[in-house]
Amino acid sequence: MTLCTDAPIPKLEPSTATLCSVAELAYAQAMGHIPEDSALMLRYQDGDTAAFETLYRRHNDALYRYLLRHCRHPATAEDIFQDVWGKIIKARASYRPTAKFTTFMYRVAHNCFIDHVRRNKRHSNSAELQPELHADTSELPDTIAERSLAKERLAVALQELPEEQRDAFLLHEEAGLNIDQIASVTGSNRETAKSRLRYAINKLRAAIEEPK
Amino acid sequence: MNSGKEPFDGDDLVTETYRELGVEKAPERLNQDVLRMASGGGLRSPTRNILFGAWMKPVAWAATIGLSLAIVLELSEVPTAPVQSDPVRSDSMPTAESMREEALEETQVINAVEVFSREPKGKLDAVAAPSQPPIAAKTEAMVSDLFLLEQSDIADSCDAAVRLSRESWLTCIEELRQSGSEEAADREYEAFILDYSVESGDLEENK
Repeated sequence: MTLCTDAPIPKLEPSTATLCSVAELAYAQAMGHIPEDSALMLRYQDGDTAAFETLYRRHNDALYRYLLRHCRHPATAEDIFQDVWGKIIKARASYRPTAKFTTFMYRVAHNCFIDHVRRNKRHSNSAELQPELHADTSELPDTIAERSLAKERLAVALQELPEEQRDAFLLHEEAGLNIDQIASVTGSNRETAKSRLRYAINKLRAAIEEPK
Repeated sequence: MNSGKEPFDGDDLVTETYRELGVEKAPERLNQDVLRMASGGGLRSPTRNILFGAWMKPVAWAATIGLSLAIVLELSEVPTAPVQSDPVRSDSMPTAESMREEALEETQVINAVEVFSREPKGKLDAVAAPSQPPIAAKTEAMVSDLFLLEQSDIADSCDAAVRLSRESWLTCIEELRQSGSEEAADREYEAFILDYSVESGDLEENK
């Protein structure tokens, strides 16, 4: 049986190709075979919208959190999120699987966020702290209260990080990118990316372990 | 997910705490929008809110300032004098009635001038008497000016009794011409033409 990832991309009418791909994807998932992101993108390039949906559902939440942690404003994060996917959809015709799809996707997201920062300098003043971070911890058991305070300190420290360090940390945690991929997404060299990530983690850890 | 990460000392604690911050998910409405966009369907502009947010404040300020200036200018142009009760009947827009009155005045003045040029000074009051007082006064003033200018020529003109008859008026004109008062004769002849609509042949005969 030929699976989606190995099958040559058939030149079919879009509707026929979509129906075929839905069945193929369902079969592949049932058999525990997970198509590569790049393969799904190539199938979408050929008109297979079901492949795109699979790809989208795989990455949408992580990308949303990445933008939300950056923007701290849900409405802004949603706008940039749509912008990112819009750019990916528009670029499907010229997409080439020369790099990992997530590297490509987060590079687009990184650029969209940078554009947004340049367009609207006020984003840093529009912070919306998450309500659960301000829960009353006076009546909680000590351990739970301590964890809650640690989360709150981490959230505050994350927002106080320099943007490049926060970006490196979020790409590491949310996107699962390694140092080289972070360097590729942010347009910096490997040592710079590594240094930013290390500084970010050290500061966040110091904030978590900060005594009361 | 983090299979590609390089190990960092102590990042487990950070990662664990970070995961506890929450696992927000993209809103389903947003997912549907993107999937609709991917399938080629319509979608609201993704940057609409960003652009609108960036321009909203300057545009709002500009609109406020513009409207304020417009109101101030509008208020400054309101006249302080009391408004006329009937702005349509202003001096700049003559009505049919006022035009009729003016035409009547002009006609009366012309008639009076003709009468004064023909009648002796003593009959002036008789002509002006039936007229309305303001028109009569105006007419009298205009006629007086003309009368003074032509007073010297009146002696050389035909009197009113002569003018009552066509033949006698023409005789008078002939006599004036024979006596050397060519100007008076011409003036009388012009008046004669106006009164009797003399044919051009008569003019040639009397010249």
